Amino acid sequence: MASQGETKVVAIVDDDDLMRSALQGLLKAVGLPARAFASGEEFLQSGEQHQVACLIADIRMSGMSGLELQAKLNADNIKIPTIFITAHGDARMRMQALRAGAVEFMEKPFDDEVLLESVRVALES
Amino acid sequence: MTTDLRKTGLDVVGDIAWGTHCCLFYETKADLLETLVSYCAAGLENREFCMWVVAAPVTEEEAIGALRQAVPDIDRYLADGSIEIVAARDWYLQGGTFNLERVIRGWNEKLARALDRGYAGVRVTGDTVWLERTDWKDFCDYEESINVAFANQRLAALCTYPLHACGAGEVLDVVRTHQFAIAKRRGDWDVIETAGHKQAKREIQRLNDELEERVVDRTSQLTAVNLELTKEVLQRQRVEDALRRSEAYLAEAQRLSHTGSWAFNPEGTVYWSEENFRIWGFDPTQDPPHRDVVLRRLHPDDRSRVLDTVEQAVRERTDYVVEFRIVLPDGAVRHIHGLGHPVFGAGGELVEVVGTQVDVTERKRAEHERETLHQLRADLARLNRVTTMGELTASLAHEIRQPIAAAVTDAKTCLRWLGRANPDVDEGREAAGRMVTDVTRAAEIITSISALVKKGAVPREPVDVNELIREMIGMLRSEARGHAIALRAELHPDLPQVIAERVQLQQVFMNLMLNGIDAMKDMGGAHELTVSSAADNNAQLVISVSDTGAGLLPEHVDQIFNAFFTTKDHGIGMGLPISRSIVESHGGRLWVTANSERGATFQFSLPAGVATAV
Repeated sequence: MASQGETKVVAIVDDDDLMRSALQGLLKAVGLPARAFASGEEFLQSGEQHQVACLIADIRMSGMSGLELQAKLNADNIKIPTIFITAHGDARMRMQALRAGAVEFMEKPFDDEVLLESVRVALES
Repeated sequence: MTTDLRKTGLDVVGDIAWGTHCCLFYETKADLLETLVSYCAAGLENREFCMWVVAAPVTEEEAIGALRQAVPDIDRYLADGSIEIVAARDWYLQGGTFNLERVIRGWNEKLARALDRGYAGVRVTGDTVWLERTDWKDFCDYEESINVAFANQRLAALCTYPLHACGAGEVLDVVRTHQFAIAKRRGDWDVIETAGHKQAKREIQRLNDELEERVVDRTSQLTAVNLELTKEVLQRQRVEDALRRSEAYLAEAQRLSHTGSWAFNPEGTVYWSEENFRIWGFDPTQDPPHRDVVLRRLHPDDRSRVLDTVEQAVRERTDYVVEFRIVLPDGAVRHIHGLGHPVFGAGGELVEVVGTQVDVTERKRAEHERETLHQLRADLARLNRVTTMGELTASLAHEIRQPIAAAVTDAKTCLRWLGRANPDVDEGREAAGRMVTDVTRAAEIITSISALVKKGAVPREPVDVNELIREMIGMLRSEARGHAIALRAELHPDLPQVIAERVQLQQVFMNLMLNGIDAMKDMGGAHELTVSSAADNNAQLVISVSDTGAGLLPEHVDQIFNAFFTTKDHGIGMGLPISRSIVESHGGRLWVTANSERGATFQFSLPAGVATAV
């Protein structure tokens, strides 16, 4: 949970390099600083999970999945507002994510306005 | 004329021929006995019938007594009738008078009987001491007649005359009427020959010499010719043997290669080899079939084309090649590959056309079967690809959706930068650049997928196997990720290219990688599929696909490459046999080994950079 006055950083965890770059580019265009990670493991190891104000994560990744990352953060008592983006989500997965505290669950290709709105909501929460 | 010579028993005379008629003048009784004993002994020894006509003063008893001295078994000869000793009066003067014809007839009868009894001939001696002066003239006629009567007969005569009883006139008569005369006077010999006899002897000698010379000449000529002929016969035999052998080899070669040969000239067919008869279904023991009969066996659809080809070749003086079918009486169709060569004479006229015909029916059938098999295999492989792609639809869609989503996002971002009050072109360009990358990735994936399901043969080309591995990992990433399986590549940095049908190699990778994913996906826990490439010293690439699944049951190792063998609850078990057939058609090998820790490793080899026949 970021405190007032600090720069609010958004973390992106996606194992697809194109998607990572695209999300990072989009956030930059709206003036939001972002840090990108290729896997959940990389994110956890970076230690930045304690600073970020919002997390955008893919669900299906090689290694740790997005939902596993969420569970791990919850277990570590780190509460980051999380937005999931998935290429093929189903209702059950969506329910599981939202129940675990996700603020949004989006399917690719997603609407950038909707995503940015969700990010803003997350940052203000 | 009989040529064999008879021993006279008289050294001074030596040998005489049959038909010899000579005379002996003697002085004493001892001279006479000595001479005639030798004469008769020689005759007996040589199986001649002897007849000794004795006259006073010699008696028959004295003659036998004298003979016994020289011929110990004279009694046996007398008993078996080999020699007859008769008194002159009994022989010459039967009835008291001398009759020329009767005496000559008598000699001929003796001869006939002697020859009947198996003697070589008849040897006679007769004494003339009994002759009266009044009979002399008749006796001279008799001696003359003997010359004629004995000539060419197996008869020889020695007439003896007592010298003391002969006057000069008589001696001259005697010598004239005999071929030659000998005289024995107190142990000393004289030989008197008549001029005619001498001349005849000389002439005979000369003719004999000449004849002998000619015989020698002719003999040597004949020997030479004979030698030459023998040589020629041997040579011809050798040539014939070689020809026969060569013909046998040719016939065997024709039989083995189903090749017949033939020749025809404007008058008709002149030669068909045995195999040609067999190919066309005619009897090889008959003459070559008539042209019309042959033409009737040509397939109706090919007949005019074959005739046109031959006519054109003759017209243009070129060789020709023609493929056609023939229909045998039982309806069987044979495919023939024919070659022909027209031969022209010095005047430019067509002499003959020679050629060969190969029965290619079997070859055609095999070719057709091979093509069908090839097509079936290609169809099956494609079916395998399409089926596999069908199974992968969800993950492939994800794989395509990913870069498209990125592209949409990048496009929106780009618009944001450019839509500002102060457009940021640099940022806009950067976003557009990312967009290009995104769309390119999506296009690549679609290209790979459509290549995999496209129909039809693709030529072999140089393929970078590492690039292929990366591409396949890209395509299967979503599938692997969905089952929490990590895909890893360990690629040899300087891997040589291979000459291959790209889609087929992709198919092999896809089959092996999906098999690996299948082996791990329901096991839980973290798993990994590793694809590695390596090159060995023998210009061979070795590619491994290794999983961390349950591994193989030993009893399955031998079966997994069999068609329709599967351990999965989906799929038809064609992936591995198709993969093996593809690898082998590229000159490589595909095999599987169990990993030491867990899982299995499929490996295949491919020859580096060498184009191989399909």
